Parts: sequence; C-alpha cells; structure tokens
Amino acid sequence: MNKRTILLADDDALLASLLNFRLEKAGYTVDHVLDGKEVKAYLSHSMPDIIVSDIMMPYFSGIELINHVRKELLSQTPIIIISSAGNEENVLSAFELGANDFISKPVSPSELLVRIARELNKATI
Amino acid sequence: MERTYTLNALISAPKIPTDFLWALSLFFVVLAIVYFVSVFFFRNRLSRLGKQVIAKRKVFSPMICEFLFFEEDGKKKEKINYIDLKIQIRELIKNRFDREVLTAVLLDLRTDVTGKTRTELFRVYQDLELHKDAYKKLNSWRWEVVSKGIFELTQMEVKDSYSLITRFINDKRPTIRKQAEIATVSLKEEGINYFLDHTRYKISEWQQLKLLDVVRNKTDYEPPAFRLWLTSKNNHVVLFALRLIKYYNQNDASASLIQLLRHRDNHIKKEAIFCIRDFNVTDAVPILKTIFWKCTTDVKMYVLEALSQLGTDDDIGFLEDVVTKEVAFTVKGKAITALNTIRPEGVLPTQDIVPTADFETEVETLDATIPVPIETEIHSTEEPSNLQDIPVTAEIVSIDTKKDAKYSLDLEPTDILFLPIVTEDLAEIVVKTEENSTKEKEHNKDLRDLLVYFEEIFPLCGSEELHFEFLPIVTGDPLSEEEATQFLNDLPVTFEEVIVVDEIKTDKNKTEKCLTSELPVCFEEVIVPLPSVVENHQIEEDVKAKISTGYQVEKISFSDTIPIEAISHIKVIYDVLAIEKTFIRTESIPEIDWNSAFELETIVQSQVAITETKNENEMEKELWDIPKPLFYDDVALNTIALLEDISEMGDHREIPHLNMLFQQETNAKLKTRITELIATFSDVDDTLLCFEPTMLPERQSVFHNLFEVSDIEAKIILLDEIAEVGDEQEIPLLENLILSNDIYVQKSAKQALEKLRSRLVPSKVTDVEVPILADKTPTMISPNTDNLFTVDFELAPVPEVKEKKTIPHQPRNQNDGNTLFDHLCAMSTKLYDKE
Repeated sequence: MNKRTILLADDDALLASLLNFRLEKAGYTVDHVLDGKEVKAYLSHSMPDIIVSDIMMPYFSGIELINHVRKELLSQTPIIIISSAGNEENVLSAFELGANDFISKPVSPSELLVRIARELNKATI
Repeated sequence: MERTYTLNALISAPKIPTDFLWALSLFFVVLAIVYFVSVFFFRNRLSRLGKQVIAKRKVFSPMICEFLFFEEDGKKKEKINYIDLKIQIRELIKNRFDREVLTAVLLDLRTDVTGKTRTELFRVYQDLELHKDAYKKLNSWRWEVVSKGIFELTQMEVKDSYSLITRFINDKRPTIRKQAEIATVSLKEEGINYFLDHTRYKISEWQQLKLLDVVRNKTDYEPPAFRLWLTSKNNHVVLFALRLIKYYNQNDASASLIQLLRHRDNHIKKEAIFCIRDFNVTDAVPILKTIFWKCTTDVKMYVLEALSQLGTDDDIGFLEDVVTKEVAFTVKGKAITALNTIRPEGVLPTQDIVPTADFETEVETLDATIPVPIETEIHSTEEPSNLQDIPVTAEIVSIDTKKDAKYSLDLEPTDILFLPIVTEDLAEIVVKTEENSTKEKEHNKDLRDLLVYFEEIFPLCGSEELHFEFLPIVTGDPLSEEEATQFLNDLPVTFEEVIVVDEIKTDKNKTEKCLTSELPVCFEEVIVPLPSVVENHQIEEDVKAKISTGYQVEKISFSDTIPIEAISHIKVIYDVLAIEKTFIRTESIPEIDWNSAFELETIVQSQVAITETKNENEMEKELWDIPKPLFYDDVALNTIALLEDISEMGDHREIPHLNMLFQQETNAKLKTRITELIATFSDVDDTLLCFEPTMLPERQSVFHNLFEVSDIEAKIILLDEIAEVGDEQEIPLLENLILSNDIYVQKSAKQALEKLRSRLVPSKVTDVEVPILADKTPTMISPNTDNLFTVDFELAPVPEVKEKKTIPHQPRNQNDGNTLFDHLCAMSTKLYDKE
C-alpha cells in the first residue's frame, strides 16, 4: 500500500519536526516546508494527499494557501489549519475559503493524527 | 557709513596646547576603535552563539521526539535505540550550554504541545535531571536568575520544587515574589491556601488577575472556602478573597460581607458591595444606608446601585433624601435611577419642561392658521376609543402635498409611517413648516401637536385566494371492508424471502393458503455461492416444482432499482436451502445437560449418537466430510498437559524425566512428542552462554538486590556508585556482571572492577582474578573506549529465545528435586492434600 503524503507547512521548526516525527511514525510520508514560498513551489510540481498548514506563515499565510489551492489550483485536497488560540476570525475565514478542519495550538499530536485520518477517509469516500 | 561690527583687535587668540589636542584626538580615536572592535566582537559572538543554539536545537529535537513518542511495547530495535539515545543525551547534557539549550527546547515545546505529549515532556525534563539546574538557579543572588528558575520549575510542573519555591513568597524583590506566588498556586492545589495564609505583601491587581487565571485553569479544582481569609490582616488578601468569593459564588459569608462594608479600605468596601449585590444579601441594606453618607463618591455610586437592586419601597425615603441633599450630580442621578428602578416612573423628567399652559396657547394659534377640513380632523390628543366609532371604508391612501400652501412640507409616504391612524376620505397630509426658526422649534416640540388625517385600513376579504394547505384532508364516504382489503392487497409489500424446504414439502396446502401468496411481492434475493460439497438434486427439483406450480408469485419486483429483465438471467441456486434444511429438520433438539456436557463419557456418547445419525442419513455424510476427532483417556490427557507445560517452562533438567516417561508411555503420538522435547532440550548452543547469578558469595553485596530490580541504565549508574563507594564485597558481584550478556553492563562492570581494585589496593589486595570474558561475547568493543558513555560499538544480533535456554557448566544432580517436573508434582500433591 502506498504511503499517504502530507504537506506540513509550519515556520516553527521545532513543532514541525515533532509533528513530522509523529506522522512519519504513524506511517505517513511527510514533506515539510517552512514558509509560504516553499509551499507554492511545492504545490507547483506535486499535490499531497492532505495539507496541514499553520495559519501564520511568512510570505504566504494559511488563508492565502487555501485560496491558492481552491481557487487557482482548483484542487479539493483536504486542508487542516493549525491556528493559535484566540485567532477565531482567521479560522472562520479559512473555513469560508474551504479549509476542511482546524486544530488550535497547543497541538495534541494524537488529535492531529485522528483528524488527518478522518479527512483522508472522507477524501477517499 | 555706519559700522555694523565691533573691532576685537585687542582680543588675542588663546594659546592652545597642540600636544594635548593631539593626545585627546588619539584617545578618542582609540576609544572609537575599541568601541567598534567590541561591537564587532560581541556581535559576532552573539551570532555565533545563535548559530550554535540553532545547531544544537537541530540535534536535540529528533532526540526529544524519540523520547516523547517512545512506546514501551515497541520493537526491540526501537528499545535499543532508545537506550542508546538516552546514553547519548546524558553524555551531551554534561555540557552546561547543551543543558541550557535542551531546557529551552523543552520549554518551547511545552507551549506548542498538549495532552499526553506534554505530560511526557514533563517526565523527560525530570528524567534528564534538568530540574536540578533550576534548583541551582534558586540559590543565585541575581533576581533574574532566581525568577527564571522558578518560572522553569513552574512551567515544567516540578511538584517537588513546591517547598523550595514557597520560601520566596515573601521575598523583598517583587519579581521573584510574584513568580513565586504564581508557582505556589500552580504547583499544588493547596498552594493558594498557603499563599493566602502567608503572604505579607501587596497583591497587585494584575497579579490577582494572573493568580485567578491560574486557579481558573486548573482541572478538577475544588476551591476552598475563601471566606476564611476575610479576616486576614493583609487587606490585599481580603480583597483577593472577596474577588474569589464572587468568582466562585460562595454565598455563605453574608455576615462577613456586611461587616466589610464598614471597612476603611474603599476597594474592600466596593468589592463587598459587589458581592452583596450579586448574592442578593438584603440584610445589608440598612448598613448600606448607614455607611452611605461617609463614603466617597465612587462608593456612593456602588451603594446606590446595590440599593436599586436590593431596595424596597421603604428605601425610597432615603433615596429621596439623597436626591435632595447630595451635592454631586452623578450621585443624584444614580439616586434617581435607583428610585425609578424600585418604583418605575416614580420620578418624572423635570428639566427644561415647558408648562402645559404655554402649549395650549400655541395650539390655538396653529388651529387658526392652518386650513384643514374640520369634519375629518381628529386631534392626536383624543382618546383612541373615539376612533372606533368612525365609519371606515377601504381606500388607497394618497398623499397630496400642497406646495402652494402656506405651511406645507414635502413628505414621502415612508416618512409618515409612524403616524397612528388614518380616517376616511383622506386626501392630503399637510404639515406646517415655517421659515421662522422659532415657530418651527415650537412645532417640533411634540409629535402630538401635528394635524393629521387618518384612514383605517382593513384586510380585503373574498377577493384573494386563500391557502388551505395547512388544513387536514377530509375524504367522502369511508371504504367498505372489501374495498379496504382490496386496497391493502394492491399495496406493494417488500420483504425478505425465507423458504423452508420441508415446510413446502409437507405443508403445501397451508402455504398456498397464505395471504401473502396473493399479494404482489417484492423480493430481495440472497444469492449465496454454492458450496462444492452440496449436492441435493432431489430437493432442488422439488423446490423448483413447488415454485413453478403452487408457489408461483404473481408479480416479482426487486426492492432496489434494478429492472427485472436485467437480472432475469441470474440463476438462483436453491442448494443453499438444502443446507438450511439440515438445521430445520432438527425439530426436537435434546436438552443439553451442561454439567456433564464436557465429561468424557458424554462426549463419547454424543459422538456415537452423531455417528449413528450419520449412518441413517447418507446425504449428510456427503455434506459434512469432517475428520473424525481423536479422544484420549484421562492418563493420556494428563500426560499431554504435562508435556505442554514442560515444553513451555522446562529446560534440559527435564530430560531424565522425559526419558522415564518415554519408557513408560505406550501411545505412539505421545512418544513422538516426548522425543521432540528431548531433542529440543538437548539442542543447546554452548556459545550462547548468558549470565546467571547462581554463585552468590557468602556475604552478599548490598547492591545485589538493587541489580535484580534495575534496568540497564540504573545498573550503569549503580556500577559507577560501586566504583566510588564499594568495597571487597562488591567484587564477586562485579565479576558476575562482567559475564553478563548486556554489553553496557559488562563494560561498566569491568571498569568499575578495575577502579574498585585500584582503590582497594592500598588497604587490601584481593586475590580474586577477574575473568575477562568480554572479548568472547559477540560484540565489537573498541579498545579505545575509555569513556563510559561513548557508544562506538554495535550490538550483535543475539536470538532472544535461545538465551533463556542455557546450560551452566557445572554438573548438576538430576534428581535434586529442583526441576520443573518436581515442582509440578509437589504442587499437585499439595492441592490434593488441601482438598
């Protein structure tokens, strides 16, 4: 069975490495990018099975990323947004633009895994 | 020509010591150079440090991840990696800088993760003994270091540090004190009690908020009765307690609250008033009235607010007094508000109210100037009851603005929607405007002064279409019984077909009489693959015959959307029904006696019965081609059980007993099994010798018991300790440990032994030779490994299962009563005796 690919976009290298480790341990292939530019470059040549992105990123925010994926690339790839607490407005905007789910910081890696699995299942159905 | 300057010919230029100037210039140049060099140096140093930190973080983050997500029940390789990593990280954090970076990494992660991962993070922090650094920080003379230490311990939830931190609660340095207060409240549930009991300093508003936030975010927190601190000598504690009482709705301190209304501190008074108001303490009203006159304006406002909520008609007199006597405008206003709250509309507006007599004269003037039809004019001041008598007709309202009128105003229909009633024959609304600003002002005083025409509009009846969807449907004559039956028969019914073959065969008429056969039926066919062993053509033909004759349905339709034509070619295999038959035929199932069901005789009888049944029915014999089970007698069963136990738990010591059993046993299969076991126990690889601490010295080492219950890491630490504090009693233990199959332990034991011997040489030279067997073990140990934690070797793959089955070199008495067999025999004897 092919491993599912996750694009993890987060400028916090420490948290990203932690999530990366956990997701890889759970059997996913994780591609980690640090900022919006890298996200755009990555998406220009490949599309992952799911995107997990921080809402606040340099150059290209999570909101812009959703817009880019949904409106420009016309892709329905599931997108999970990671946002810090008290950022409800951004989360609402993300949902309006087509984000599938969100998880607020501090993140529980186990919870993130469950959400990813759920979104991937939905996408498969 | 007039001179515009003065001559300073007499003023001579001062003598400047040029050498001094040069020296000064040089000094400043040097100073500038030093400055720039130092800036350059420190900047570079900081950036280098930053790079080092980043590099270290990159090293530590995967290690931390490995620690955080390590699972105890993981693979063996993973466990080995984990231990290796633990040793590596311990080696790394010997450096102070690395420890600081690691602590910073953990603190950063703490803010990013939650749940189980965070708990694990706290465990790792303490496991790596990073909290000891924080303890050291607590002893620093620098306030920022102490504060940082307290913060670190609080963030990483080191509960053991509680007693160390509490002593800073009354520290004279405010930053440390505040940090300690938060830590005390955070670390333990009873921390807030300790804090409120012991604090002597002021608790700032901001600090109170932070403390409240800490308390509020505690899970499963049961707040204490905060009224206990209302008697505190520290006013700030009383104030904070009042706020906590209000937050947790602890309304069991009414008397204390009333007492606190007389407190000198206005903040406490104010907070007490809030509590009284929120808890509706009506007993406090007299005290509130008493203290009112001596309060400040702010407190008066709060008192009046409380009175407006708690007061009754009895308090109106007091409030009226306040209105008349009070000088402060805001307090007066609040008192009036309170009056109107207790007795609505008790006080009416009086400010800038024009007397009624003035309006009467004004109205007369207006009536005289505006030409309006008298018969339709209704003054707005009239009672609405008069309007009910006015004849009303349905007319469309049209507004005709008379621009040529003297007092007229252009109005849109929407602008007059607020007007109350419209009378019949309305043609126009004339609103007087006046260029004179004074008159206009008078007209705008009251809406009721406007002259208006009314028309009452009722909904039209009869001409509109009515919607009756909401009404229930009422039919004509009820259906007769026959019609109703017919109607029911015509209804399509969907059910799952269950055909019992015998029933069709034996009770045909009854089945044909079934009402359902006359109904149009929608079938759900369950098509099951035909098992290869099933062949019952007789029943199949019989069923087909029944279906083609009497059991033919009138109409067959499938419940899903597949048309019947599309599936008509599918062959329905009725052999499945034959399988069902075998179960249906057993109409009279004998009652099972569960007490004796598993006894050997019962089983044998059942088997015989089954065999007889099978003989009677050849068809079933063909269907069920199952191998005949084997049954053993009691003795054989016991022997089998014994052999299985021996195979699981036994070793080479069982071989003589197995040989004995082999000679006694007559059953060929059991003999084969015994032979297998003997072969298994005999087949032992001598190279896989492992350490068994069988040879214990007469005077056992105090570390021996500790070793038995310790993990590898603990063993290594213990070995270090032995090397430092041990004596000759530890030497046998160390010698045994050198033979251990764990390379870490082996290596550490070797080093510890060497150290111990070198330490003990002056006092006593041991005559025990150290057998160096490390080289014989299947590992590759570097000869240059002088450091305990330098891991520069690889583990050789050692089969785990075979390690357990080893033979010690010394010969043993095979009948010494210590074998598993002997234990089993002894146990069974004991049980027998007990019964």
